[in-house]
Amino acid sequence: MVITVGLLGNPNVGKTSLFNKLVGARQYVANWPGVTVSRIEGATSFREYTLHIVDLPGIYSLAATSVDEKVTRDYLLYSPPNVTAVVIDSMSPEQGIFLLLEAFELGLNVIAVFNAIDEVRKSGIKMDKSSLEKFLRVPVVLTSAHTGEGIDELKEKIVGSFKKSVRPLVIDYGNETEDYIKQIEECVEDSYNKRFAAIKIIEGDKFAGSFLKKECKENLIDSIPQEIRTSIPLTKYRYVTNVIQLCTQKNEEALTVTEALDHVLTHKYIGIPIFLSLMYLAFNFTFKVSEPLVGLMEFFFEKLADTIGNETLITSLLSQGIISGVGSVLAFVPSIFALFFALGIMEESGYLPRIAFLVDKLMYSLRLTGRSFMTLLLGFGCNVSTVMAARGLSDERERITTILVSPFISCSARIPVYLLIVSVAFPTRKAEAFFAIYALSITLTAFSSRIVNKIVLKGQNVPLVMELPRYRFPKLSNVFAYMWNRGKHFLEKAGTIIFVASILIWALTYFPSHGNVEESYVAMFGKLIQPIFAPLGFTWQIVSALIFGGVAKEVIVSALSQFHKSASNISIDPATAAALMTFILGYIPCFATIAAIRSETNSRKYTFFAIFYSLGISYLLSLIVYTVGRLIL
Amino acid sequence: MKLSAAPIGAKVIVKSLDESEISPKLRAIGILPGITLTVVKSAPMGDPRMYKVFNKIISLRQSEAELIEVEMLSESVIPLSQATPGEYIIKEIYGGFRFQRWLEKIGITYGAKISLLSDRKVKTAFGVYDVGFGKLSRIYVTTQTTEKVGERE
Repeated sequence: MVITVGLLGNPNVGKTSLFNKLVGARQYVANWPGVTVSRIEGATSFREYTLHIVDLPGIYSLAATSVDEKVTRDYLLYSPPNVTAVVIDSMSPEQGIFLLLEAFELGLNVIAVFNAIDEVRKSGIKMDKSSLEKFLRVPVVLTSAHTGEGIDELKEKIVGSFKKSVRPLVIDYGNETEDYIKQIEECVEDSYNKRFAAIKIIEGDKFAGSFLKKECKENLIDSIPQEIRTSIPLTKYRYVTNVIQLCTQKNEEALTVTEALDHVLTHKYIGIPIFLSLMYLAFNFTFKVSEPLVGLMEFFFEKLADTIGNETLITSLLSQGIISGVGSVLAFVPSIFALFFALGIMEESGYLPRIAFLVDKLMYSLRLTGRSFMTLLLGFGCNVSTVMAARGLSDERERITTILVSPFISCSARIPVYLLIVSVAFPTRKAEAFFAIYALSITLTAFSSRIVNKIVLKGQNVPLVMELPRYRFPKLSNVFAYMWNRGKHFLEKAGTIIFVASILIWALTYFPSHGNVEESYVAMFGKLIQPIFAPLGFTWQIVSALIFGGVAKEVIVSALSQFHKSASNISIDPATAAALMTFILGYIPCFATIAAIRSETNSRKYTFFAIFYSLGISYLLSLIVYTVGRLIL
Repeated sequence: MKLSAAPIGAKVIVKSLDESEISPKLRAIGILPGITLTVVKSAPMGDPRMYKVFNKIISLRQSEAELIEVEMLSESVIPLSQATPGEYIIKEIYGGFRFQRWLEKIGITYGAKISLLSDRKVKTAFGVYDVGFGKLSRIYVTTQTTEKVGERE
């Protein structure tokens, strides 16, 4: 027997953690709103039943105002699950219970799940389950996705509620509003839940127009006075506050940890300096931790390649093409994992939305918002994620801007390239060089979004209503899940695209003169176009590597080490290195990103813009860096 | 007053919302007539600001907060620089030892009753003084006598 269960709730109440606990999956959960943009499904067996669980994007209300809210609402409306578990944050239950009341109106078979109950107990609040059940008239489960408390009881109640559904609570909005509801109900198409549709129409739902019969008068909706519109949520919230007052016992309001931390971390003056120092610390941590391992792996791959030698075609392919090519990229895996570990801690603790809060004014003057800023942050993992996640942005203009500027966010594929350059050219200033390139990445993104808005699109305002979640002590297993989910992408690429590219590069370096790089096809081609890049100080090896890097940025590392026989033979002077890093930051989106941009914007114009704009601006910037660099470095 | 004009620390009660693209969302979060909000703090450059709605912290831009009409509650703790003329009780002073000493001399201490005159001068038990805007913004006051005032020393 299959029972479908929908997990519904506000953003960031722990639906995804609960989902993981229920089905034993390892979805990464971020401590910031909007993690789930499309629904995630999983299944688990319990007794003789199979529970098919659907994790829905977080919403505040069943009135849809943006696309991801519509995803959730339409799912519940058109294919209602057998049981809907409304997940409520016990620390701030008001908005959650409000959503629960809306779920009643939709006629769903509901269970109320009060999550984070461990935090509630810790802060000395008492919650009475039986009175919650009495006033809400649905099964109530107190759970903690953190400790695993109440998970079995939840499964138990899901089955119970599947067997025997309860008659939900109906809220009376008072005579005047009820009259309007009745009037509008008559106009609603028969296939919909009439009361729900009528209420949403009164509340001013953007998409509610589709509920109405065609012959209905338009002015009926426009004639609803504002008091009636607000009376619906207001009545619900009155009910909610009453329930909470009757069912919980609170202590005196004290200064919470979150407030104390926020006082410093989002401070008017020192907030941004603290953010920058934390980033710097994260980079420093990355290098300190991973350096010995990276060194060891480089040494290992080099020795392995030496043992095999490169006398014959086959051994050369093995040692040069595969071991040196793929190995030079793999050697940086520890650094990448260490960096994502540090970023994972920041994200897990709830600091990330604060950054959006801190920089919003700045971003806003560049015509981006905190919301798109968070989408862009995904790009530090992989730019394709940003391009895809931009779907969640409700404003089309903002979505296009975010997509077009996303390649400037320095993705993880670029990390090994920087690592290589930095360790060759700035061995004593690694963290500083990294900090500089990331700062440049953000500046360039911001600057480009301004240009995109000026030239390509003409803009107006986009609202930002964002919840700032509580700080949480990062849980190690979650940080590891984050690190793994971000880092594994990299390992997959090493086995596929980087592997293939390495072999191709090997072939072009090996032929026609059997291993003499200087006379290979690559050298001929590189030397042909090298003059274009001479003003930036790039050698033909760099130029050819950059061309291969268009496929995927990691390939630059593999190409460079093949051209020089091994990674340890590479030498680049500081000025060229700085110019090269600048150039790599932006020069061209990789194949996968270009394809994503093409399919998401569905426009050749935007795709060409993304390619040529980034090439142009990177060349210009590198030229400046090289010229200035030669004077000071 | 508009929510965007409410000073930091103020507790306000929502009077009405201008209808806009975001008003359904604001209402769902709990920003509704009759609900109490607290202005928590502002980001660098004064925008956006954090508000406490029930137990959640929500960030709103000033341009969005402008759509919300509110009334300040008397129990709010607000900076004196933002206060309208009237009688107040000192709740909090942000500043170093010298600043506090200086204020003590003119009769501004924790729990002291003062009044703000219409010409923005401060009347204390010792007399009438002219206090600069910067200093006023570091003195937090309330109109209500509550429990713990006076215990602060």
